[in-house]
Amino acid sequence: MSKKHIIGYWSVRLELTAVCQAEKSAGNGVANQRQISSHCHKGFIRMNVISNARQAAMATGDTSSDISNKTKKDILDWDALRQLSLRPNGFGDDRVDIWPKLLNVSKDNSLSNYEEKKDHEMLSKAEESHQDERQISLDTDRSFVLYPGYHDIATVIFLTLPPELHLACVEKLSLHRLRDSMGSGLEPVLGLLRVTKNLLRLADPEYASLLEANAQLPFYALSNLLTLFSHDMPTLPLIQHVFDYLLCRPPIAVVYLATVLILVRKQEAVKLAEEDEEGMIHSLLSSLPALHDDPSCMEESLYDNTKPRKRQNTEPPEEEPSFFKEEPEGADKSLLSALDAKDTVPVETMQSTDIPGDDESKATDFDPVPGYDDQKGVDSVKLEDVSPPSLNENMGEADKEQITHPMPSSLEHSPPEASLLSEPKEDPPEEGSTQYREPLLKPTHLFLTDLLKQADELFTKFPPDHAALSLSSIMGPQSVVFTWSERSSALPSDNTAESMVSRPELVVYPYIPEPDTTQGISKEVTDKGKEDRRRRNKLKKSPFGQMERKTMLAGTVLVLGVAMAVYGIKARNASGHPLFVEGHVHPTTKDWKRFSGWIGGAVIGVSSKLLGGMSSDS
Amino acid sequence: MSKQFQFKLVLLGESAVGKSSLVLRFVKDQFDDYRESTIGAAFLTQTVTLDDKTTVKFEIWDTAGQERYKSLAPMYYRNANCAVVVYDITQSASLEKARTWIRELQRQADPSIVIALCGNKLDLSARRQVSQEEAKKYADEEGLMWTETSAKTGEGVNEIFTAIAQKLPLTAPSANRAGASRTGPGARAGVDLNKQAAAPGQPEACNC
Repeated sequence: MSKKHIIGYWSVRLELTAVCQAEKSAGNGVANQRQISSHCHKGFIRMNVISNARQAAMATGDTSSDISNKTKKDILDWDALRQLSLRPNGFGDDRVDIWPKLLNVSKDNSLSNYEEKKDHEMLSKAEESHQDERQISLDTDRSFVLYPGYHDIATVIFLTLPPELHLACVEKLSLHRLRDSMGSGLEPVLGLLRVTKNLLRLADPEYASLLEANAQLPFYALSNLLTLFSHDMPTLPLIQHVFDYLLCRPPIAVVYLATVLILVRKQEAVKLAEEDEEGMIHSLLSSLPALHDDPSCMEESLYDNTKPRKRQNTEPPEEEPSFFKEEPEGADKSLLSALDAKDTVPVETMQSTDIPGDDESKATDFDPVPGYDDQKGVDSVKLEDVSPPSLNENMGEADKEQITHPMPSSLEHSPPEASLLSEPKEDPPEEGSTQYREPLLKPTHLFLTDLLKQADELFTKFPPDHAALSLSSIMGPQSVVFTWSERSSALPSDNTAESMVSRPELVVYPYIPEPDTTQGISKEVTDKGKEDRRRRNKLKKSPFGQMERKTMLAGTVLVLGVAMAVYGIKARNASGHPLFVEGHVHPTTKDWKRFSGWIGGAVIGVSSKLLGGMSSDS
Repeated sequence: MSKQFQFKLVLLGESAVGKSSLVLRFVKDQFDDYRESTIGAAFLTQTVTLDDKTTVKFEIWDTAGQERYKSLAPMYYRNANCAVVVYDITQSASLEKARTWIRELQRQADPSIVIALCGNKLDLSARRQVSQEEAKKYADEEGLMWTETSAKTGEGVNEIFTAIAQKLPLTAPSANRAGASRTGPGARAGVDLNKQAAAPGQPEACNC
């Protein structure tokens, strides 16, 4: 990535930051980043980019393009695209054509929107367009709520696609993939965190319990889940490749990838836990490892996996990890590791880390999964604790018993020893805490393609409907997790999708805290009872509070509640509720079919909740 | 032989008042003109040297100020020994938000928590909306430490963390140090950082 690209990337990020700003800063003589960022922080700035784009679409009355979209969309070869997304650099230049198709945006459609939108010029002249406070309040009176990090996602779209596709693609992305996060509350993404926790438990129970002792939920994954990794990815090519991966997969794929990024840091996290650096675990896991997407290296790893792999188990680490390097005092450690990647590594520096200059050895003596071998280079590796995902294992309860089996060597690209799910058997005795400041680990240099493949393997091994994942009893029927479909005809209409954000209780089921889990981020929580009680009291007031009782009656009540809520949306939908400012709602039998499907999801969710027990969902 | 004490510190306050910038200045002595909003919370550590024998290591939880993250805050302040509640001196609404946080801390947090109220963006005092008198009066009433800072210039930043370190109960025997009597455990008396003796090795705090 050229410096120009990097600068462009960041300047557009800033430009979008400016888009986020609310009325007060514009026109103010001292309007500067402080206000801009300040307004970006505001919780309830409405998503006027989307609303305006939709208004434009409504104004043109353009619905015919939907049909052509669907035609194009339906002939997409999803499997082929998924394979392509695993290759180095993903879709490459073709992503300009592929992303809009994956998002059900056609060029014709988007162009008409774009022409309408050009008058507003809201992107290139964000500040001017936001000077009019009244206009802003009008624009922003919509159902979507902008959240911090959203502009990071939009930035990736803007820097990848031609301008005429920007708004249409951001709109579709928001409506059908990001929607859960665009309500006023954090609950939907907390739901995904619970799914992430369950996935961690499945993938690596021991590691999961270590993490849960530290934090009740994997909050360090928040940013990745909310921003589809765009908040923390250091370079545009890397995040574009991540988007290649995510956009040709169901929305839940982000959970698998986020989980992989937690799993690959296991050794570092375990080390921190041993050193009682609980907060540092949060810092570690909320930052991304050094990632590479180097085609030349990757070709070798993809096609030369029969080569005897370099064995490093007895080799001393060649480099000190930045996390443990030069650490005279806690202060310095925090400098190195507590801040996220772009804090510690300026963009220009990050660019240079993409080129394996400082790790020549890895580049030349390449190993199929270097990152993992880096870790193994220090410690002996225990393979049998966790069975890494296999492509040919059946899913189901049996997996729980299988997770102690050695990994089958069926993974063509990733030798067993190199799996992300491999782990150190135990730390060599000489690595006691007394040598904390000695180099313990090699830096985590990972190849993005390997992580993506690992996420796929995790998905195959523990698919979203895996019972222990409890996805359907955590996320509600109107979550994008359940409403998204490869077939555009099965997606909710844009209006319906927008309305769903107003019913958070149908996006994620109300959270029932685990009674036995240590609350909070610290082990030494003693006064958690108050908080627990408070939350329970809160729950009792909720119509869903009955879920705490494992009775069929409760399930019935819930299903009825969901059904009535869905019906309510439809009724308001048809009667032109203010939510649908733009009107043009055409209830069809198809809508009903979809609604019944979503209700069905709720029924299934409740059933599994009742059958599987209440505790499994959290 | 030096003693190191470890305390958990939480930063609270409305979004964009400069919590992360304050921490960045304190921990790294840096300032970003373009600071990304915090998602969730960030964790950092920094050690303050009080004298030859005493250091205080702060484990800092820098929380996201956006309203939607409010429900996560108890997790971070629950076991906190000290809290820095930040407002923006150019936004009077941010002081109201700070009051809300302080009320919540007084209700929910550990009763012995040391709370410092911190008016940030002192470099923008030309656009000041919150007077020093108003903030100080409130802090005195509530028994809070109070100061004004500029994460951008660094003014007052080290001073407030040092003052907090001095106020925290250093209970180990060797923790006795000059001035310790002023800050007994559980003391909640207001401390005007302007008038407080500067910590060793630190320049005199000045808000002028």
